[in-house]
Amino acid sequence: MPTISNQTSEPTVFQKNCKTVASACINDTLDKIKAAEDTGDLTFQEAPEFPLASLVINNRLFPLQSPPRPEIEATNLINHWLQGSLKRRTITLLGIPNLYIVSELIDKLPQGSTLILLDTSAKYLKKLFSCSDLSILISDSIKIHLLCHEDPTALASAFHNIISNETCLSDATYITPAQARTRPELGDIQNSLNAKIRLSAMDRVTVASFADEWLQNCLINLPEISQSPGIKVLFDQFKKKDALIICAGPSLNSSLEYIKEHQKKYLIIAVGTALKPCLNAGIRPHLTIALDSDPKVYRQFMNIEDAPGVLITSYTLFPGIIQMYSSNILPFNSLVTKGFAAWLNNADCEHGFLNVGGTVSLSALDCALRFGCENLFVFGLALSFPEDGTSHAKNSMYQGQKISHGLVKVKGNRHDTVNTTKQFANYIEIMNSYFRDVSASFRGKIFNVNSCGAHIEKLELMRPEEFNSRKHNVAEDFQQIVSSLIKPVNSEIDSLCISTIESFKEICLKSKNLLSSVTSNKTPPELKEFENEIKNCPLCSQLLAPSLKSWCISIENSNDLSPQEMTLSLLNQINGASEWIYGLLENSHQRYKQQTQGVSHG
Amino acid sequence: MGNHELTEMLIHALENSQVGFDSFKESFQQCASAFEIGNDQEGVRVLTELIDPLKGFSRFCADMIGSHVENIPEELFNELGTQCETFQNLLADILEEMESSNFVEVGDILKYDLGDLISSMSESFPTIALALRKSVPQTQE
Repeated sequence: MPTISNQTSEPTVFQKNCKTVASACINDTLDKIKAAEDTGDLTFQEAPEFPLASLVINNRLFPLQSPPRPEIEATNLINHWLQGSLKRRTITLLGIPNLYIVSELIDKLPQGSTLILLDTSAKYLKKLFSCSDLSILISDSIKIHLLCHEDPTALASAFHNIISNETCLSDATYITPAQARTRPELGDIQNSLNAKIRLSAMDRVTVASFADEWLQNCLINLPEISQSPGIKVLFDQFKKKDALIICAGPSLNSSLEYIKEHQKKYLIIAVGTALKPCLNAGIRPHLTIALDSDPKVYRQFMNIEDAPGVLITSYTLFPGIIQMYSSNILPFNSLVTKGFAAWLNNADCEHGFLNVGGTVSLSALDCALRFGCENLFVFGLALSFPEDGTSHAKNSMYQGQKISHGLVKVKGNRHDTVNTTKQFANYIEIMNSYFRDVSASFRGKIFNVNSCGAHIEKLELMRPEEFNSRKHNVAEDFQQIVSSLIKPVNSEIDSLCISTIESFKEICLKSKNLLSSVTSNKTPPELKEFENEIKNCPLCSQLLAPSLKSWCISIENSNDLSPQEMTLSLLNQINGASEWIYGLLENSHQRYKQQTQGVSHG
Repeated sequence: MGNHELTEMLIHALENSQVGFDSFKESFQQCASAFEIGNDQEGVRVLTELIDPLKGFSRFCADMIGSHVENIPEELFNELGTQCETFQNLLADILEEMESSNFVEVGDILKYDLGDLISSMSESFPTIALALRKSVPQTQE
């Protein structure tokens, strides 16, 4: 009998690399690389530090880095890209990773930086994995992400998710000149990635600029919010039901009569601005959704004597509206209220999450998807203006408003292009991104019921007349279904308020004392202790974060502050914010006690 | 113009060639740097301006070899011949790579191959000038 050898073969370079960089690979990148076919288009030549890559195009070799001195080329390129600045940052490289550049970046970038490596070609990455030692991609100081997707749109979407979670936003997408020349298709991808970076930047600036106002509204709305079970009670409760999402664009006007005729056959969710046009047309939405903290939003609800249905509301909504609906609200958490939601969780108060982005219409759609609705019919989602510049449906708070300048052209539903504003063009991009993300998992159909308007991806176009003549479901009492799901809740808000108020009073006192001890540019030791105290107190750090974000924005342009002035400024901000927060909490706690006195939900 | 005068002009050109060589090196660096950071428009612009002077220099070297073969010591002559042949080959390579837009190669040829060659030629030319001067009979008033 022949003996069986017990020797195991040495893992290949490819196998070693798969193991080494597995943790850096995003989504199914590693699977794609493993499954990719081999390619002769990319070759590698041995070199002292890293193999030299070349692309073979029409039988000619195009080197992807300078063969004589690739390390000098890498240095010059990085200096040109980063203009000598090497602060902590996120850098995105598109194309086959140039290991000389990657190595130099890992060497030079400070601790905490992130490197995102992207490509659309799994076969090129497979070749790289087979020919080069990628152990340099594992670094203790730099976080590295490797992402590959053959679909540029999906790549950009996954990239957006990555940068949304990074502390430092990627400043731009870089591509080596050699790859820009030999792979011209990467140019368009680079543009779409940079567009995602701009969107992310817009989000962050919005959050930081409005953080204080949002927190103020969250705290004022606390009594009503804390007594509600939240939007989550409706999740998955409307399976096999269809929903109408009513937005407030001018295209809604031609659909109102059809919606009215069939309103009992559908769950109706209206955005706040569409409520008055609906009521005026005899339509009573079961749910109305509003998010904006701006007081002008109150005009959407002003003079409505008997507001129908339930209000779906962000924590940040202008308080006057929440108090109008009183207990008839279903609040939700979102990306912009994570800190406040975390604070509420201390009292076992959790409401459910909705996506927000640009326009409230997105959140309305997100509701319907999370409710489990089968098919969605969206009305009034124009995101564009007709020739006369009318901006919204008739009888809305924007009645008579016309937009005629600062317009750009975007792809239309029924026309090649339609007019819109740059802001709406961004909303269209946000919507497109959202639908790309959800379309894979959503089993039903989403219809854009529109005779005009801007084109939104993944939505099936339908004329209002076609909606009217389709086969509808039977009528149901959706209002009763919604009401039956809303039951009062118990929470520990009372004790949470008390503990938080005490903690903030202490911080207020300590920060006031520290202000007098900062007399020079030298940091007093008590300051570090104070900083740790805030960081280690969840109740405080969760609510203080918005004020600190506002402070960061305010000092961003103050280059001439000395260290002492900056320290004093921060302490003043903490002192002022603490006093403001516990003041708001005391008022809200008082209102909460008045509302719940004698009421037991046990 | 007599041979003596032509030779004097050649010697003068060789003795003052450093300015020209420095100008070439600067342009090579400028062009290569532009391609290196992806500024292809600038790189192509500089290179386009360089082509005629480079061709002119190549002709100058060929004329020098053809007209003064007897006056240049054999060792120097052979070295010059090799340098001129290399120069012409590199120029042809640049034009070929430029047509394919293979600017990484163009930049490398300019910065390293042609750059090194120009440096060695800038050392040879004064030596050749000296050799030529010794070979020219001195007239006495």
